[in-house]
Amino acid sequence: MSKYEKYSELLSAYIDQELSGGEVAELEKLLTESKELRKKLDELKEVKNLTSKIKRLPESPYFETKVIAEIEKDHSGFRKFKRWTPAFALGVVTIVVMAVLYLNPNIISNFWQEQKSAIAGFYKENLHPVLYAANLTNDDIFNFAFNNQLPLNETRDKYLHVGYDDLGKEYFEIRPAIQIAETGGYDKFVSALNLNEKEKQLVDSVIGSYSEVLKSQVLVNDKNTLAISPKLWNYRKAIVTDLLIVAEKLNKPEYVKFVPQGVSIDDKIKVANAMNELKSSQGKQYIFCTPDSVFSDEFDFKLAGLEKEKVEIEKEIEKVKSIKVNLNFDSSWKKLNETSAIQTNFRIEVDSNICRVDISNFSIPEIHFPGFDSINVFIEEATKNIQLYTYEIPKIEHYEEGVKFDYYDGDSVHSFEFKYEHFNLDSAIEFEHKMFDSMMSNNRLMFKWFNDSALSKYQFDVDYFSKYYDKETMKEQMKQLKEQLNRMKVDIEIRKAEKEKGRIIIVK
Amino acid sequence: MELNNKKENLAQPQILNLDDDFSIIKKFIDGDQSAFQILVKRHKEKVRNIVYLTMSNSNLVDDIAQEVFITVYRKLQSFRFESQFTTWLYRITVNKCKDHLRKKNVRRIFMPLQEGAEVSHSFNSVEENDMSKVVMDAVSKLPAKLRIPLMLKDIEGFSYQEISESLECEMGTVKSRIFRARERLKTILKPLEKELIA
Repeated sequence: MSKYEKYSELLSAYIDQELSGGEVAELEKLLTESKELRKKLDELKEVKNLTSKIKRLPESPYFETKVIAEIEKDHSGFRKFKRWTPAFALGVVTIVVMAVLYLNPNIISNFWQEQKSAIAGFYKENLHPVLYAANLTNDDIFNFAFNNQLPLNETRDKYLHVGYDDLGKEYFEIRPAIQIAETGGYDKFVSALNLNEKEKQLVDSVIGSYSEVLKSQVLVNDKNTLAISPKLWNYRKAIVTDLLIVAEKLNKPEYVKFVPQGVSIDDKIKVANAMNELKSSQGKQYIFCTPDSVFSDEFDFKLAGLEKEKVEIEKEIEKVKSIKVNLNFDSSWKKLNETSAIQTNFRIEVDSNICRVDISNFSIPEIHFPGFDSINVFIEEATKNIQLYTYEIPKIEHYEEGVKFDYYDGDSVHSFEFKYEHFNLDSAIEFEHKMFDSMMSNNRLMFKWFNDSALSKYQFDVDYFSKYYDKETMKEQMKQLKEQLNRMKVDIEIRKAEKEKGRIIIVK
Repeated sequence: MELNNKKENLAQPQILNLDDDFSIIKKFIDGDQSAFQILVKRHKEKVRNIVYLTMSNSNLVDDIAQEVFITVYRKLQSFRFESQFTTWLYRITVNKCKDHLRKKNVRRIFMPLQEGAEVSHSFNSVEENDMSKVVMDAVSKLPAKLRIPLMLKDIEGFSYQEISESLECEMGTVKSRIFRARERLKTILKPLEKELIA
């Protein structure tokens, strides 16, 4: 042990400025004498520097509200056992509890229900229709019908996506804008049908008829609650069906692009009945997503009441616009990953991009409409056909700093983007020809493009193409893609050469 | 009007003032329930961060912080105005954290595999995690008695005196534990030295 080692502890207090004047003077004198001690000081400073880089928690704006609610609940119901309660007293209580349970076996479930009601009441306060603030356009509603997504705010940086899993059970997700399908499909749909202005107005009015009713299907409040009506899934089907029926009426030759076999008279009657039932149903059930849990409960939201008072509506819209739907990034939501599946019938997955809620274990009465079941197949087929018609795949976009690829798989958009600055040209060249050989020979290879860890991985899935295209069409697509890539390769080489000369160019 | 102005001032508690806390507590004791909400709002972030840094687990933060304020609510009527409210509050916070750590240790006896897996997470490369997470992972490997004073000092900026009051131990003990925590942390971070410096 060196003679200076006993001073090590003082060094730690020294960097914390916790030594007295005398101690500081003594230590600083020793520091000038000892290299060993100076080294130790540097090491301790380095550790302190690292610990000071630990990030603090993000603020929790609703924390005090929750605390007050918990205190009020605590005051109204709980009996608190003192730590020092003697064991015999506990025994007596146990016997009493057993007796009460024997005489009234439902008491626990009743108590639990009361607690649930109290929490539900707290989160149901001040719910507003978020879609008012989103200013839904006809394209948004068309997009909802065929791409299952609704914007959650005016800036359109968050979307609600509703869908069905592989077993046909409903789920919904909150997604950032980057992971949603391209908008603008409605215009493509109208142009595909060669509609004149008058006919377009008819289609507009069909879509417009859903605008108001959709608004009461998604509610939010300032407690980070999102309430979704289970009717949303059926409204999507209703809009699809309505649009296809009107499309058939307006332009049958073009309409068969979407639904080759057409819709039978029998199915039209079933659909009309189901839609009437849907529009007139009085279900008040909502699925509530809150920072604490996901649950379903009744909620009496009166859209008509709001409609009557226009001034009030404007105020409400301003209020709702100020609410940010931020469920997926809130740390409190992340704990739902672990707890919700046990507590509720919903399965929740939250990561930094998407918040997904599967409602597979939960049966909501409104979701079932027999008329829709019989035409589900045709709705889904038409949806896929329209998706294929309105989206070209893959889409390649050149811009100043790089190149972006998008493709749409019927559920979401997969984006791959690389910037010239970071592009690993060698790995691209090495793999390019192997990839096309495998595609052309129909070798079912999942090909990873680049082995550059700085880039996102783009997986080129042959199954995806073969699902929609015959072999000849796929070859044509691949040829086009190859041409695009060759052009991109040339672009990159030009840019590199220009950069070496100290010039920056924009590749069109 | 005066009260409203006061509340506005309290909405941005950049500098916590002893007298402000005392006057809010007096209002609460006199029956103004809304004063408690102001108190929570003033101190919630500090309490949440102490819990986070002490427990090394963000999932538990709001639950434990909520327990802290419920305890404060129950005991505030008997607050004696002899020491700073924050000293009292932080002591309750640290004790709540210790309770939870104790319970966690008891559970670990019965579930050694799962709990062991939870605490012994290894470092990923710095490429995958930011530096804050790497250092936090390393800090979480320290025993609670070393971790807590170190975090109170380096992140919350407590003085040794404040730490000794919050932890109810001698200042010499605080000094020694902080030093030992840094020494231990240096050893844990040694394998990542190049990445951290880079």
